[in-house]
Amino acid sequence: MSKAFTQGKGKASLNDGYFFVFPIVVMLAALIVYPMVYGLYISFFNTNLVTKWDFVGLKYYKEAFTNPDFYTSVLLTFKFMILVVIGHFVVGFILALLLNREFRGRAFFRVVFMLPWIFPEAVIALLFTWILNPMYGVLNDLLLKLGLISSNMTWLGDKDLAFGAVVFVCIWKGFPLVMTMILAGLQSISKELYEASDIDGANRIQQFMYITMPSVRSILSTILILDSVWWFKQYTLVYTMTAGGPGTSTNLISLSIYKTILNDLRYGKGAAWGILVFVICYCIHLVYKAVLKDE
Amino acid sequence: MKRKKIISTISLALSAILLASCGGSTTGESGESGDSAQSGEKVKITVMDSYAPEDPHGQYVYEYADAFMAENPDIEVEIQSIASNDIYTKVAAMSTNPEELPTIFWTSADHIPTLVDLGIPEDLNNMLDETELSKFAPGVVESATIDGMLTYYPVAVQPQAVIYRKDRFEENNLEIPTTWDEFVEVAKVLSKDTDGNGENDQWGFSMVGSNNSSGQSRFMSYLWSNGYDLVKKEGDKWVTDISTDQAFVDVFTNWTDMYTVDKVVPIGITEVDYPSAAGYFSSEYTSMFLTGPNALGITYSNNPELEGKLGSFMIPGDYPGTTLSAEGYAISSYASDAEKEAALKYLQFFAEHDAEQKFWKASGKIPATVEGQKVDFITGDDYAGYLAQIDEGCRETLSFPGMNGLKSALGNAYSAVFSGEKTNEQAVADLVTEVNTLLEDYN
Repeated sequence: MSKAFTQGKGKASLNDGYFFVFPIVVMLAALIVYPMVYGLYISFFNTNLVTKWDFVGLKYYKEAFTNPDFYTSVLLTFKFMILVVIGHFVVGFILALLLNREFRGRAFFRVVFMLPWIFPEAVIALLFTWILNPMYGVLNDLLLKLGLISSNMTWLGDKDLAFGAVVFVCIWKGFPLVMTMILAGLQSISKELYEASDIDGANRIQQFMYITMPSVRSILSTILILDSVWWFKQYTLVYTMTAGGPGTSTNLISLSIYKTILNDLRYGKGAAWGILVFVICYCIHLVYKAVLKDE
Repeated sequence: MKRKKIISTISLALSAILLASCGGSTTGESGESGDSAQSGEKVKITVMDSYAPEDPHGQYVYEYADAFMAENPDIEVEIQSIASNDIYTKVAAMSTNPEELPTIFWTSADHIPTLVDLGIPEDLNNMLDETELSKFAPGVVESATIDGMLTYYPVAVQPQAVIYRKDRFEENNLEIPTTWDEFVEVAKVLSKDTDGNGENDQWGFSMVGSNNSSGQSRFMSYLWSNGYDLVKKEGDKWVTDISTDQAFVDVFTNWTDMYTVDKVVPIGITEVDYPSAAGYFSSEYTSMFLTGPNALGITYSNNPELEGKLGSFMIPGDYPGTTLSAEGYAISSYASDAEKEAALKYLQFFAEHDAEQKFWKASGKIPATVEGQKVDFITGDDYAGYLAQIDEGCRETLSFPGMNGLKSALGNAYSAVFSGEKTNEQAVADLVTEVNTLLEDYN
């Protein structure tokens, strides 16, 4: 009797659970699962989504592996992501350590260093496009006056300079978030730990390695994942500054897919590339999960 | 039990709301407007317009729409301003949800084949009779026709030609170039270091070197004028003249050499889009500009002192380097009959009501109608090259639905050489691969 009652109650609460999650399941299915399944479906077709639906099977997947366009774009995106994330961590960490110290005007500098994060990406991209303009740009003018260059440089028009310029702007745009998160972590470390280590004779480097780093490690892990994913799928800044050019110098995979789908209207090919990028992102997630399992 | 009922009701209600919002409106705008028309209410037409955001002529789009609404109080016109390089992408994307399409959208000969392939434009042969069609200048209707379908209502023609500084040609005793080799020689003479700092600050040619529609179209003109059919139909297959033959590589190289070797175009060429190139020309940094006649409007607007100093000549080369490039407005085939009727009325008003031709004069565009082409502003030296090209005959409008893909491939090729990423030979080899892959998708 008692067992039957418990079983009945268990079933009832299970049903309640289903009722509770039903709306969100419907929403997830409509907004996430359906687009992904539809993307997978159209990747098997040569289609303009309206008047042409020619089944091509795995053609676009095979092309992605045999034609260098896809994997060079993916490799370039990894290179871009790694450089930008490293830049964010280096600049963010240094500034967070400085802003964690007591000095006059600290609040002012905290606000100033947050500004790049506040401005919209398109605004920053246009701003730097003008700064780096080969004819009228203020950077060339400044460098010429300082005697560091002898003629105007084409910062966004040269294969060797364009990628570096874009990475620099993306670091400038994104470091405040990393800085703020690290600063928040630093401020949560008890001063008593440092005082105790002073008494034990620890120097600054030892304090950094054995107190600061372990204390903010979990925050760093979280930022690492968020920042990597965010910049892997970066689109706006790079598109506005160079549209992926010159040539393929800054042609990140997000731009390649955008152009394939919305410029060339080759939805099947673009969808196949999108699916492959999803698989890559999922693999990154698995790697992070394995590496950071202790966090 | 009561709790369970409440939970069930809330869950079902939330699900219903979500499903309803995901499904979107099932009553299209056209249906609503059609009903409105029948009930005697205003018909609303939306115009996705690329002239509207442009200076100095964009103001007249709004002025004409206001004048039209004053004359036709039963029709409401809403102008949606959007850049010409973006409108095609937007309209093409909207084709998957046709109820969202505007009633009228701006288009050009470059974009229309793809939009026809998507089934978006209405065939205006169904709406215009012979009398109406005879109002267009010779060649204009043909230019907007694909497979017998009149795909849009032309309001201007924009063949490409080269506008140049007559005064600088006279100062340097230069003749009008008729071949591309001569063109480069003339451009070299016109490229100068005027302030003596060892760097050129005046260039012969205002090339548009950006990898976008403006740059790609001009490169296509260059290749056409050298006798290359970039895409053509043989039987039921699309084929191309683009190949790794040395002759094609040489022609390709001559274009990129203007930047990398001859230095007759401004620095940072991959960043020079149409507005920048037009700006350089009107600021007198450059002396020749391969462009449509609209650049004349912009140039005079930016620098009125150049009036009387400009001429134009046909694109060098032995073959026509341009289509007539009629541009105008297409009517959505998904609009209701009432909307289509109102849209056509608006377009006819736009093309015919202004005796002063303010829109065309300000924009520098050549009117598409016989009556419009009688205006005196196109009779000077500055329009001579365009009119000569129209008289001599232009290329047929392309009907290849993958035009944008083809243009992207061309843009990627020259851009890679300009940036130093590839040699001319590598760029052409990759271009051939890219174009052949593209044609596979359309064959």
